[in-house]
Amino acid sequence: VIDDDGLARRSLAALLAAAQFSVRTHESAIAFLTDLPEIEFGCIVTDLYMPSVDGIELIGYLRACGASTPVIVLSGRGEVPLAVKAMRAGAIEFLEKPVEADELIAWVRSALVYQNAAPTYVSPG
Amino acid sequence: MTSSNDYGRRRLWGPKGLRVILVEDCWHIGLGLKDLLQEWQVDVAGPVATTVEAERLISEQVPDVAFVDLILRGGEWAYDLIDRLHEKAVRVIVTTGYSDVQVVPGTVAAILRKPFSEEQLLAALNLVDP
Repeated sequence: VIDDDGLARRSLAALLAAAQFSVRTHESAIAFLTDLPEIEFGCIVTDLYMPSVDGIELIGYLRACGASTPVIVLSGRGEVPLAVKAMRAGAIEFLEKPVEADELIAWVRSALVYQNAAPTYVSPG
Repeated sequence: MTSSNDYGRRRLWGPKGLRVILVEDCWHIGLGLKDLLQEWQVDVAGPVATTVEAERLISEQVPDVAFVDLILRGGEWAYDLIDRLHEKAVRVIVTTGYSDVQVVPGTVAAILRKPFSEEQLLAALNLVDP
């Protein structure tokens, strides 16, 4: 879970942990990218609007370094062009906040199935 | 002079030491709120999802501040609970997904529209407890 807002980050972590997912939280895309080499398997749930590197830019960085980790993008502003931009960048889904618990859990489950069938992080070196 | 809930006993800055109850039927929001408030060293009771459970918490210890979702488990409205909290001099912060909330003037200290951020949460706490 990547979200610069502490409340959203904790609420999402509580929701996903209750659904038996192992959850790591990061307060920025940069913090997540720093930890990326240690993460072998998973699904990213990220906020769209974050300082420095936003959710769509994060997807760009991931794809550029060969990581196929599935990404679900969340946004408080349900703007169609942004949803389209996120999906074009490679997000598997774009959900509006506040997210429906069942919907998010279902998407994370789907994402993990997707990841099982795809190669994970590939070192750029 | 301290109030009936001994408000004057505590803290030098920030929400540390504030006694808060959480009345929220969306449990992950309640747990997220609790986690964040506890990080700020707020004394948190709940979350609870019904007015009956909220009344039980209040009977154990009257809080300084109550976060109250307007519509609780099973569609129960929280207006009566808000009135009772107000009678006990508890400052009420309503949390709701609705934009056109009607409350009795003076009974509610702040309204937080969901989804709200950490920053908005802190601002509301500062507003009710400067």
